[in-house]
Amino acid sequence: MKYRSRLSIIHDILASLYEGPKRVSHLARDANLPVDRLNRILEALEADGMVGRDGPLIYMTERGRDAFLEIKRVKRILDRLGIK
Amino acid sequence: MIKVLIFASLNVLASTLSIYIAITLLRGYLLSGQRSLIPLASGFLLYGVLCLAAIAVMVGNPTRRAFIHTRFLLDWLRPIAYALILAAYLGWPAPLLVVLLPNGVSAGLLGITGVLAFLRIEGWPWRILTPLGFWIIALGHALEATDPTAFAYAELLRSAGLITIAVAVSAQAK
Repeated sequence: MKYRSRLSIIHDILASLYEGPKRVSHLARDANLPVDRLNRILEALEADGMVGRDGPLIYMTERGRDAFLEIKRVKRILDRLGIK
Repeated sequence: MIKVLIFASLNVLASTLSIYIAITLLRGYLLSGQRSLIPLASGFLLYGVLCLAAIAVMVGNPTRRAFIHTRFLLDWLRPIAYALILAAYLGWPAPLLVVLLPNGVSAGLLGITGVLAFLRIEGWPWRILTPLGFWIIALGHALEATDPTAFAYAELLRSAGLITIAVAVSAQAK
């Protein structure tokens, strides 16, 4: 299995939420993560104000959208440097 | 005079791009908490600042004493910047060799890093541009290792290499 950095994992979560609000199970499938691990990361992202909860749905906040675009830029730099 | 202007412009560009990459990587650390970004960002930041110091040596017409001090700083601090960047490819403690050993070793390690980057990067033209940047910087060090008086040309090559890397990583994809 390919190692994914924390940055890549957060990128994948936010990329999925960028398409629209999702249930945790759906998000876990998109981000290829076990639900318990995803919940831990979501708690951190929620504390940072990047995502919010609306009933069973997780949605991306305005701050999360800005963060996603920035993380995409960092990921592009790392990809082009050949660093995972 | 034209040579000095070209040199200064290249170094300002290299410095700006390097500091831009460093700040973007630091923002990435703040957003994701990925600690491995800190040494990489610090390496680019230090390199960017040193490019400005190199301009001061070449353009500012400093006194002989200031020239020697700045050269001394560059000779010691630049390898630290390399070590911080190369650690992302080679892992610790291999990059410390760059700090402890002379220019020839830096050239060798930068050359190896270029090969590693070539093998790891997917997609063109980045796959050739980024390694090319490392190889141009390595050439600068190799030149200075063989002829210590060729500082200005070595510096020019190092700036050109850094600019190649920085352009490769920061250019917008289509």
